[in-house]
Amino acid sequence: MIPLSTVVFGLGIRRNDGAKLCRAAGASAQVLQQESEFTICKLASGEVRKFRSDVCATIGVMSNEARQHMKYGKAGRMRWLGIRPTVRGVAMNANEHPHGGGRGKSKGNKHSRSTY
Amino acid sequence: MPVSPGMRHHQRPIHDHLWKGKPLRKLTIAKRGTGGRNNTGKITCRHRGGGHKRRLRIIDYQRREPGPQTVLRIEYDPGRSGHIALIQHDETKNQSYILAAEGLRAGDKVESYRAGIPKRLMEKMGGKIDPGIMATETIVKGNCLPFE
Repeated sequence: MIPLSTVVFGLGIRRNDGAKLCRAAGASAQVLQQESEFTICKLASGEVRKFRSDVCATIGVMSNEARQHMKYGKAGRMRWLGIRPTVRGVAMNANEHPHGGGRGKSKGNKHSRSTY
Repeated sequence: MPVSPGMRHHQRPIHDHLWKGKPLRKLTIAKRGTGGRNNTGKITCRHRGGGHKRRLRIIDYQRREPGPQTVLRIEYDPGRSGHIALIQHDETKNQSYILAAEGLRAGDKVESYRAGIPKRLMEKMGGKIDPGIMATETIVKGNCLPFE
């Protein structure tokens, strides 16, 4: 039994579920209210949600809370993680993107839009 | 002073407690990257591809095994932003990975109460449920238990 206002992470959604919610670094949820069959929790997103009371959760906050302060410092460090560069539309030619072409960094009086 | 331009703006948390060695190999499986392509081979998610080779860690999300377990070490996991803990069951000596709570360190004890209240705890409470004793015994960082 988890007392009120306990901070938990790795919540299940249905009965017999494993940890599904609040698994990112530093994420947690708080137990707000307990009724007979349901427990109400405030999730990391701010969503207040009803859970069945036989659902399991882990006590504490998910590890690596300090990750939000991390700065990668260089593009190459992102490449190690498998993230490729993003080319801006303004840097392209007119046939490649609505923002492309023109002199300098002009968007050609167009509203910002994607390639598609 | 920064030693290189790339280090100038680099910041990262210090995690001295993280295991410096490799993961337990039998608890990992090989992972192949998709490069953002779907089954037809077209790019469905841009800006993906390359990167360091990774192995998936098999995490015990369910925590079905009752009884106290000891944290052997806290490890880095390339597949998630948080860390994972390698735990060993005190009796069966089964090893598994679980999601690590903040502040969990090697040598700590964790337990899952998913299967119900163990006999050991019931005897301590004198045969009936005492919410006070129960909370002090079970509400420990890294323990897994149902809401009610």
